[in-house]
Amino acid sequence: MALPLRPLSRGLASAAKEGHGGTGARTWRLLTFVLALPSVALCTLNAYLHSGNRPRPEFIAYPHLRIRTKRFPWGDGNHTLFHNSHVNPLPTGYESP
Amino acid sequence: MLDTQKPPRKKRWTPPFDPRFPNQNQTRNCYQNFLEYQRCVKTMSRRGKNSEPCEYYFRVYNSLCPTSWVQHWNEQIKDGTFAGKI
Repeated sequence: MALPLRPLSRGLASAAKEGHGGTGARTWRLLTFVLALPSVALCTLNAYLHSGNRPRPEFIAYPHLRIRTKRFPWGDGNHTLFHNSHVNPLPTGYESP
Repeated sequence: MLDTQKPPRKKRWTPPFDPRFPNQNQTRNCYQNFLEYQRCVKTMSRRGKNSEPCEYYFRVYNSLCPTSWVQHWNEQIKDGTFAGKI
């Protein structure tokens, strides 16, 4: 990304602080339990609600995708490292129905 | 001098200046006109109208694009594997 990441993270941290006394451990412990962990819980809930079996996109043999100019160094050379036959098609199509 | 030279040929048509693509790299110009032609033909035939206004885009992309690209894209359109939005 072209965005400078360091000033962005500094801005986010200072926004989260919302102006307080010192930089003690108490502050960060409070923020952990009040802000960070509830955010994690909400995101987990969101991910769980969006999960589940969904119809996979139909296979179209686009020439700019699933390019095999050289075989992969593992297996049969045609499967990606984290190949999932339910959602990842091979250059010729899906394997499992 | 004029009689030793060949008679003046009919001036060849070239695409006019397109301010959307002012620089040296005209790749996007070629591709955009190709897409415009395909979309124009598709819309005109869907409405049952004559696709003659689309011929402008046809002439532009045929002037600008390498013929191998045009052949490649036409094959892809026939196979249904063309990646552009038509």
